[in-house]
Amino acid sequence: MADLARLAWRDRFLTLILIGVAIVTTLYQLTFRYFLPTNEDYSKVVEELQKDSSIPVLVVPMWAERIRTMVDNPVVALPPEDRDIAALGHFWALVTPSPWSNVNGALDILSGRFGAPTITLEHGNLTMLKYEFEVERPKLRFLDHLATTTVRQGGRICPATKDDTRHQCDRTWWNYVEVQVREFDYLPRTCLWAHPVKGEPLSISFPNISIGESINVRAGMVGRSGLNKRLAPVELRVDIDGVPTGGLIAPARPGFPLTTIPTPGVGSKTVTFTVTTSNQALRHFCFDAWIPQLGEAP
Amino acid sequence: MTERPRPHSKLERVLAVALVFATFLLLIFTQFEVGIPRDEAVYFEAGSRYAAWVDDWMSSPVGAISRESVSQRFEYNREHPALPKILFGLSHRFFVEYLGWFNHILGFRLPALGFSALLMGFTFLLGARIAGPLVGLFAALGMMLIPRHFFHFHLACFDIPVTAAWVMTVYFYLRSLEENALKRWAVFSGLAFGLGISIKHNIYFLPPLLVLHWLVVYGRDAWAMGTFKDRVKAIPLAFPCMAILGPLLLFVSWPFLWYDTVDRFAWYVQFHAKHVHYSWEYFGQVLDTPPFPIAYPFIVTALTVPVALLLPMCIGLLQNIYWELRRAFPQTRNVRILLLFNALFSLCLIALPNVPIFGGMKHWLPSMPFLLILGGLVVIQAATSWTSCTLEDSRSSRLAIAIGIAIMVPSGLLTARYHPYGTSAYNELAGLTPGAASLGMQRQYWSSSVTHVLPWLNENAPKDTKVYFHEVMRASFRWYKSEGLIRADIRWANDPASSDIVVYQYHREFRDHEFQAWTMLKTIRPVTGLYLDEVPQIIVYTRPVN
Repeated sequence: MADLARLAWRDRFLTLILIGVAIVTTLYQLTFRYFLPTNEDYSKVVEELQKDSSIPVLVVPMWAERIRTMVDNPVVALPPEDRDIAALGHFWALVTPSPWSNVNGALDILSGRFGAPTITLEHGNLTMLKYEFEVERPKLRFLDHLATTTVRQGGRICPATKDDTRHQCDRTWWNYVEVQVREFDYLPRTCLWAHPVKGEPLSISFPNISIGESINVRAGMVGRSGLNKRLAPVELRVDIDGVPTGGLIAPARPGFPLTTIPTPGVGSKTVTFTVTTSNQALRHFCFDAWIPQLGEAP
Repeated sequence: MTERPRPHSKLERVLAVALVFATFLLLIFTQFEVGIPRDEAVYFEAGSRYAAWVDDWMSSPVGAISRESVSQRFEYNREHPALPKILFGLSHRFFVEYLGWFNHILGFRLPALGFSALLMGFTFLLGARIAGPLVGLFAALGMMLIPRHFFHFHLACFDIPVTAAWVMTVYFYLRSLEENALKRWAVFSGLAFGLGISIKHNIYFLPPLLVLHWLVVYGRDAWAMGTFKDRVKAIPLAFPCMAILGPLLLFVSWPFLWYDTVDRFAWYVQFHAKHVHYSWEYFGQVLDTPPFPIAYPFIVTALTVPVALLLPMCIGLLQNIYWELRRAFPQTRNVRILLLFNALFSLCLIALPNVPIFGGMKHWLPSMPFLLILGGLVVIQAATSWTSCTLEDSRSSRLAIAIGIAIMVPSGLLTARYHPYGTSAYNELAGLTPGAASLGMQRQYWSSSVTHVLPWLNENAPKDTKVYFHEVMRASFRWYKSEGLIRADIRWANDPASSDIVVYQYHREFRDHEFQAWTMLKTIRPVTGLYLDEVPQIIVYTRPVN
């Protein structure tokens, strides 16, 4: 009898749990929208951002990108520890509340990297924090100088388009050199698209480049083209005034790793990047190269 | 849980029929908002081609069954049996082309809605057979009030139909085991299984599961019988019925197997044995290749089934496992083992590290009716604790109904919240869509949510604009146009480079498509989109005018 009574009490407790959970989840759903930003909250944020539409906006958490539809400011969706954020110099962090998102952890990382925010604004459920910091920009980023390059494939010139944004080679429609935003490790990276063709080296020459101690190169296979490990690697060679100086091999796997190539001497030189592969299938190769300031860590 | 060798009560029969018709009517009205997912577009096409076989029959019946005609008509989408697609196609022909009653999409979907209604009816009957109408009602309503289920209920696809066939088979099998059962239940179980394998392959696992159930529950007694003949006679008639009627029904309903039967069936088996793996986002990782996490189906279930429903389901499952381990309540062991095996099998199958995991929860749908029945038993258990020990006491019934309603309210709210974007649905434990996005879970799949931005496109796209509909099948685009959901002059673009407008479906593994749109359209600012509780699902970019 005692067992039966105990079981009855247990089941009565179960009733309360079932009904309690039902009530709590109902309330959770009905009140959920009050935790989300309203249009009014966004209006105030937009008003603030429009005061200077050149200031980037870092969204926290990374998925909260709806602000993109509202402002012309560059919206950056990167993890707080990402190295590209350091190149921004200043930015607004726009914080949207969300279950399971470690907002405080993200802000701690940002503060650890860039110091405490200089301004904090709360607009309803949205919070804006301004970070301002010194940034040591690279001495030269090659993709900013595409207009001055000469691109050749198999020795033949790949002519530039009228606006100098693309050098189109003659093999097929994807056979060109252009600055693009492409995906590496599911994140956006600005890089120089240079899809090689088998047997015809694709060379990109930048004249009158004031070189320093080294050239930093990040390179890899774009998006899903890096997933097929059976495809051929791509080789990138760096020549300075026609002298091979270094290079890298981008294997058939995802990623955008950094390679530092020491450069001899200083002065104005022609830097040539030559891209080759033994099999062009799905070799969606893209790279970013820059010359760091003297003494700057890569 | 008691075995009741009796006919269903009048109330149970009325409720079953009412559930079937109410579900069918409800789905007719709610399906208008549901876009055409990738697979469904393929099945529409297959249905059209298969139904065109009728023309061959009209011109020459002998020619229609020739190798050439059959091979030509049924080659397309040969990786799945033909029956559901034949039904989709014939329904479209009859109700749309001949009678002109419905639009194209509903014309194809009607048979699938019928299967969804049958699933509701048979889930109810199975639950009612096991523990009375309240359990049946709980399980049936619960089946519908899970947002992802409700989405799949609308589609001319195979997952809900095969789940319906699965439940029907188990129901008829259970009835065939009852004392003094009529032989027709065994025959029906064979026919239901045949229907199932004529829809989708995952139901091939069911007969072995039922044999295992019989062996575990009755095997010892059967073995103890004196002669070999007695032992053979003890084997349920349902098993030979499934063994004979199943393949027979498959063969008859799939004309493609009429020629080169062995080769073509072997190809079908091979196709599914070596199915490709599609990318799937799971806790921030994009899962591309096996081995996949064993916890995957359990975690996804825990994050997508409304918590109020999930709780009794889990309690029911764990409690019955505990009872089975303790050998408690031996008089209900037959049903308990049957429920546990069916509740766990599909989940455990997908948990195997090399089994494809794409498709959200649709591949373990056959587990859900049984989990819900276990959940219904928990509700009854809780309700009866306050009064007498049986549901015959009306106070217990009223309390059970009250608890059931309390559970169905948040489940219904969640389902309504996500309709028609069911592939984006996450529960309260996940923190709804924003929480799931923060956890790094798959945001959506199948592209059907694109319907949200079609009115904007129709209103704002310049004349003859080329639009890149990322992940949308071209066939879906054509159906949207023929239904007037996309303006007639809007043109299809194969890639962002050749488009003026890009409609991107957020998939982590396809982020590069969005970034390509930035480059090609020279903008990073979307003009509109579908943002569920702030989380981007569909994002629209247009080429700036200047």
